[in-house]
Amino acid sequence: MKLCTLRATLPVRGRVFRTYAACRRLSSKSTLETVTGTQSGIAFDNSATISQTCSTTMSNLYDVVIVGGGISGLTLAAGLKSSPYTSNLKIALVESMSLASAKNWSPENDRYSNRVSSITPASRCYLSQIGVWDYVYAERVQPYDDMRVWDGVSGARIHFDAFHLGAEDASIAFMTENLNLQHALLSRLNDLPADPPVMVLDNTKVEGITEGPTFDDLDLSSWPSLKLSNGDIIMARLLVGADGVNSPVRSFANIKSRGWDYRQEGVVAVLDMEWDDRQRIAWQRFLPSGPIALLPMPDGKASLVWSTSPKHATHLKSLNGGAFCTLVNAAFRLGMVDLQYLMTRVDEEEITQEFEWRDGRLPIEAEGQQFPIRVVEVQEGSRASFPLKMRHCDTYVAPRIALVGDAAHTTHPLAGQGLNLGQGDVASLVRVIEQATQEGSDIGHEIVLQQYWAERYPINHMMLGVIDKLQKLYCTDFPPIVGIRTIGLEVVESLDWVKKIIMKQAAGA
Amino acid sequence: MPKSDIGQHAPLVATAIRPSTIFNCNMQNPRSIGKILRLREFNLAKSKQRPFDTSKFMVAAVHHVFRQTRAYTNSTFSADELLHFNALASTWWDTNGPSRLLHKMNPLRISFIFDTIDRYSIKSLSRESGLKMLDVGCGGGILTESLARNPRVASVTGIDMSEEVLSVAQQHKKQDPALVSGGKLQYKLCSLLDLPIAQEAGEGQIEERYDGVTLFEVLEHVPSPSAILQAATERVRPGGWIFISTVNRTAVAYLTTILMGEKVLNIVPEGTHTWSKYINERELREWFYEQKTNVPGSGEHWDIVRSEGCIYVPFVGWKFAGPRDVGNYFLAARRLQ
Ligand SMILES: Cc1cc2nc3c(=O)[nH]c(=O)nc-3n(C[C@H](O)[C@H](O)[C@H](O)COP(=O)(O)OP(=O)(O)OC[C@H]3O[C@@H](n4cnc5c(N)ncnc54)[C@H](O)[C@@H]3O)c2cc1C
Repeated sequence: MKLCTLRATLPVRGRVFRTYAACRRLSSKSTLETVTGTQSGIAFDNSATISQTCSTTMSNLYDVVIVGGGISGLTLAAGLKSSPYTSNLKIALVESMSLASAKNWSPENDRYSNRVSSITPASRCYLSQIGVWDYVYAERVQPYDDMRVWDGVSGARIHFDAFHLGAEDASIAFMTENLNLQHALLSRLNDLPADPPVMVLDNTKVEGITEGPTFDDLDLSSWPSLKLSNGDIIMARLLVGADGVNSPVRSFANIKSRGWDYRQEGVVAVLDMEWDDRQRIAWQRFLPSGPIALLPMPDGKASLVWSTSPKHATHLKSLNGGAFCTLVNAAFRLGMVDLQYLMTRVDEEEITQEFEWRDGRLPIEAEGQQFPIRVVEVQEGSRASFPLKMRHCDTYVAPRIALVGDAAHTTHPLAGQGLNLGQGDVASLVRVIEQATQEGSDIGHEIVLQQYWAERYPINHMMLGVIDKLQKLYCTDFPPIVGIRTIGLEVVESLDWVKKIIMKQAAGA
Repeated sequence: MPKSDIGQHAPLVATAIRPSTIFNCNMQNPRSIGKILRLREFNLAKSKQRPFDTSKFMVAAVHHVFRQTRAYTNSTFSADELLHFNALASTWWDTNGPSRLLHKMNPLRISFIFDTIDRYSIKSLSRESGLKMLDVGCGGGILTESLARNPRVASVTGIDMSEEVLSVAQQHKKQDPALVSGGKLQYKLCSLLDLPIAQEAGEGQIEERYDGVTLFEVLEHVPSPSAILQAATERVRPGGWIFISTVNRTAVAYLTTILMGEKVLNIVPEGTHTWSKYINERELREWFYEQKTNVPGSGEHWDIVRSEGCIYVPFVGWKFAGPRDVGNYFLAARRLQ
């Protein structure tokens, strides 16, 4: 918000005034500072040809400044530092929150974080390639090779397994805590013998972005200049916004982000199952209020993402643990009328009785085949909810600016793709930067960055579009639509080759 | 030499040994191409047309083009061309402006230069890094800056005849601290003909010459291409290179670069190209061949190691594809001693 106002108050054509002011700010600072450290990378071959003021500014210049220490931002830093072509770039990463807990994270027995993501084979492959996957705690990763999705209204089903992946031992995806990934990324960054190392500035907020100053012998007016909460000013040859759905970098670049809110929240929780079901199945049932998904985790646990109305989300979070688990079981097993009725109850005993009575009618052999085995406990403090949105930027690039991950696009979690699309962005941007440094092109040049946008936009657009359509298609119990989607699903279910194509797309191939 | 580089016509090696083979295969007139180049310059001076294609349409087109280029001085750059490029100066670095296609061609130019050096360097003669480069007709410095940032380049000089365009280059250089502090890049306002040549022999003096001279999209803008080529060869050290890109003088080139590019799609500023100044690939080939025969016994000769057609693919960019004797093409010649 602050950034928007900051930008808005600056006259668009006021470059001379602005840069002069910025210049004065910098030069008054410069009398106090000494030129720090040795600089390498493409920007910082400091030599005597430049005036004193200028060379002080030079120590605040970075080839790449990444705003956001989420998974996208950290992957970008690790990707650039792992490549022989870009490892000498001078990189800074700015994150407003503390990264200490992620850095020092180690798995706690029998306790899981509620921020869990499914990692596609393509993302895992990239993380291995850049040396990050080796740092992931393998015992906290749960692959799955079977996925069962069905229509809560009509009961039509679709089933994917390793056969549709084309290999016996292939996995559809890998479930793991976001913290496991963040920890691995930070460890990799720490161990990389990169020179210069990535300057990680956590607990530091980007408070404003303006254009850089101009001197007699140096014109940084095209360089974004970032004002940080610690008082520093740093400038970027290339500024990457990995700063999430409300991206301040996107506001600075004046890039429009289009989309809508789903008027749904994703309720997440870590659950204990009745026993450790070794089948490793991902379950998803489409209810008219939104899809509910149960994803396998190690140690007989499961991760829940239940997309529902904000009212229901609040209700689900307020219930006691037992009643909540019963409602989750009900959502996978009961008919819509029964479920709706149970959602209006608050008393645990009443909910349990009503559920048991109705559940008794279901065939016992369907358990673990048609729907998941029962949930028995919810990990304390693991229930939370996130508003669900769909957003897509018209472009991901501007001169000296690129957006990656949720800053460029946000999607409904029903296909578990959000983080993975961000990984695809990062891999593509790294490739483009690698090529540009080999060529000697300016990595902030729009022509260079446009290659990244041209590569990623169509892929992301298609994925966001499909997910959005699926979401809309299943968010109704209007009979004609239910009829059509049921026929559609049954047709797809009978065509293995179509299922193979779908799996290939979902794997990020 | 890898087969894929040879293109679809007679092998380049054979070209150097038996030039008559290519002449006979698709020349209407087995005249010396060097002569044609000079003849063309003469004709241009008299502002007469010599249409390559006989169709009425082309005759009309050529008339039109010639009217535009009638006036020029006997310098290396015509007054019209100078005016045209001066007008483009302010938008040179606007990647969505009139120079967009030029920006998009830059990666192809860079890869052409360095791939050629990687593949065809003669270890005992050519340098592969620490290169000293000369960018002739550097314009706003799109290629020149990239060369200066390239770790394999030790220094690069960009020269251009337009003061306005060159000042844009100078200003733009200031936007990159690496270029300002690196000291690898310098610009000069002069014609190639006025750039001092180092003494031929003499120890130490050879260093004054360049490892590579680039003439990208230059020859089709000068009234006297052979003089420019001559001047370029004199400034290349043995084992060094001349890299050229230009356009064949064919009906297809007229249609794509002028009619479609400038007049219909407007992706290139009108007046950028003059069809009659386009140079056929075979003419260049022959010109380099003549260097050897002209000065028998001097030992100096030029090998055309690579020549490739290129096309602009919308949404993708410039790619090496298609025949080298129809539209745009790149050519690399290596100096041997
Ligand atoms: C319920 C739910 C379930 C999901 N499940 C999956 C799944 O199974 N699979 C999957 O692929 N995806 C999933 N996603 C999506 C996934 O979580 C996101 O796409 C992903 O985390 C985005 O990562 P990011 O790094 O791009 O952005 P973020 O994680 O949002 O990171 C942005 C960072 O920028 C920082 N920042 C912001 N502003 C500033 C500033 N001014 N200064 C400094 N720092 C700043 C923030 O602190 C933050 O750390 C799910 C999402 C939800 C809500």
